[in-house]
Amino acid sequence: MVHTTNANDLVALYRHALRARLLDDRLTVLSRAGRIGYHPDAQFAELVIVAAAAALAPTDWLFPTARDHAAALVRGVSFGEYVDHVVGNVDDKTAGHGTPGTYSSRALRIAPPSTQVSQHLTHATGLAWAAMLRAKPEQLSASVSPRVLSSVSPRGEQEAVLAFFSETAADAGDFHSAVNFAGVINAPIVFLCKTDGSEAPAPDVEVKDKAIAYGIHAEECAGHALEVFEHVSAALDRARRGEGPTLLEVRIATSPNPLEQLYRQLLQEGSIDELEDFAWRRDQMVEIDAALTAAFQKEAPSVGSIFDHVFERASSVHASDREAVTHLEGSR
Amino acid sequence: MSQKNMVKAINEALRHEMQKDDRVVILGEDVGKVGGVFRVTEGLWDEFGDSRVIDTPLNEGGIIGTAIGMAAYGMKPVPEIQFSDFIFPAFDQIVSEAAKYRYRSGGEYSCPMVIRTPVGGGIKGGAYHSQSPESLFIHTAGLKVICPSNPYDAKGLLASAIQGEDPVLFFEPKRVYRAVKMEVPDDAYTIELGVGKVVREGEHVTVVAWGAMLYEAIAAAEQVAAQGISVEIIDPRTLWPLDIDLIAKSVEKTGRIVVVHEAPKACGFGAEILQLVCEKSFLHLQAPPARVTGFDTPFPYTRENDYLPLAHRIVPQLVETARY
Repeated sequence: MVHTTNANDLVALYRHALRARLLDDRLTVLSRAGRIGYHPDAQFAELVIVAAAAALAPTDWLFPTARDHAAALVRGVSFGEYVDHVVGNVDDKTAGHGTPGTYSSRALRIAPPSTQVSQHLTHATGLAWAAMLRAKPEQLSASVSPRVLSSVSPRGEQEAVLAFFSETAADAGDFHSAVNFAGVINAPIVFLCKTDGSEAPAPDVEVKDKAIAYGIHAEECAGHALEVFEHVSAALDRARRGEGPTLLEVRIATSPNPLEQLYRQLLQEGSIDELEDFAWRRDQMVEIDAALTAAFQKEAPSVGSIFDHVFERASSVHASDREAVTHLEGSR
Repeated sequence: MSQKNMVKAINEALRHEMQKDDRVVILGEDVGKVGGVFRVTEGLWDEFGDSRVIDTPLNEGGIIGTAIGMAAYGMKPVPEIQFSDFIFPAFDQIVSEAAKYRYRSGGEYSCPMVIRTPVGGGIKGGAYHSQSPESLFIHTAGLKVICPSNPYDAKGLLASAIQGEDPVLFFEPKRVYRAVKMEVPDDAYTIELGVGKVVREGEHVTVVAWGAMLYEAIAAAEQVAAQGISVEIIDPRTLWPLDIDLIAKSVEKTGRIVVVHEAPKACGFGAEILQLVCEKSFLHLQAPPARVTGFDTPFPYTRENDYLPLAHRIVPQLVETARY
């Protein structure tokens, strides 16, 4: 496990990104072999994702897409936890309900990704809105239940939200709803657009320019890890200061591969040693394989789990079906 | 206790829940200063301020999408959609997100949210202010669906819905809003979700009706009483989860059932109710289960009182079913 205690440490960001890449490589193979349902990978964007996630404070919230598992790793999700989810075994945190890539964690403030393009962005705005309303001292009242206090961070301290999306999602309606609402309410949120930078930008279709229509601050930067970290950190700080949302468009080069380019740079600078890096990669791959071996050995969730978490409590709606299908367990 | 209409009763439920729990917020189009298109939220903006009674941009998908985010944070949003006909821009958010938020996160996140929206015809509203889309949401696992028929039930059911932890569609029959007055307690109270009510006891035919059509069923029952047909009427109040045991028990007594609803017939909720009755009480049936519903057409403007299953359309079906 790599911890970004010093997020300016380029080597740490490199290693976060490399862990995600190694996991991607393995899961892509398993997907093609039909061992798992599928795996939305993060190819070329790993460094951007980890650098942005590293800029978050523990009290901040992350709204990833299904391709942003690298951010979950930065937030502290282990290989074991992630592959249990992808395999969908009894220890999958989504109870075998979430499709690969839709890992979420309330403790780590990672919201459930959506497979409906851009719809998570309105959720992100809504959560930022709620965090803003709750942080206002004049909104406080004495009648808050203990449950609320445990689920909501200390008030008065502004939490910020980071939401990822890709440039194609900016064509979908919910992107516009999310940015419009965020602008209207001045929500503490950073929308980070991962734009394919393999081609020269066409000035009339840059995503960041859409911010003009909604009256919010926009920036753009290249997909270099430290640059992304600095831009996201600054944008989150703006959000926390009450200066509103930022639309940050990050142009991600695909050739040369950014992660391989950084590897060569770090080698050249003497920041990493070739043999040590090789040994470190090997250790990560061993860890991934061990996690996968363990994940595939675990049982599937019980057939009755199909009916769990539909409503808060078990529902009469499911009583007869649950009984019938549970009775059949093991007969297939 | 005083005479109140449904608008007033719902307004009281909202006020009480907002006073009790500062996580409860209202958001929607013109719900603040104006008090909503039907004035259901009138006075709440004055009392609770614009951080808790929030006027939003005119964007239903955005209203529901942001409400989902608020709920994820720990708030209890009560968004209003001005007419249930306008809910479709938010359909994907309700069906793909709100209904599945708890499920797909393995219970880590939830979406405690009550979507209030006026429903039904009879106000010369035409195709886009009259529809009854309840079955679309009942068909979506993870949602509870409520349609009260009177002010007392509306107040207690809404309080229960807001206090719960699940996403709820709360359909308010707009034709009833100011047309029905009854004694409603001033204090807060709740009515358990999923529990129906026998509103008229009878021997020969069971009628299931909700919202504004309940009154048409009662009128029809009174008309056929003169012909010696005794009708038992059940108001499910909560459409999903449905109190099927109450309906089955009645059918086992009467042997006959007619479901009345405004929505189109094909795949309407009546089809589900009648099939459940067949599964539970088939051997008690003495006549084919029947429906009196809207037609499988868009909702018409001019001839809405022929499209709606009003008493004059219910009566012949009651006679046919009773005499089968």
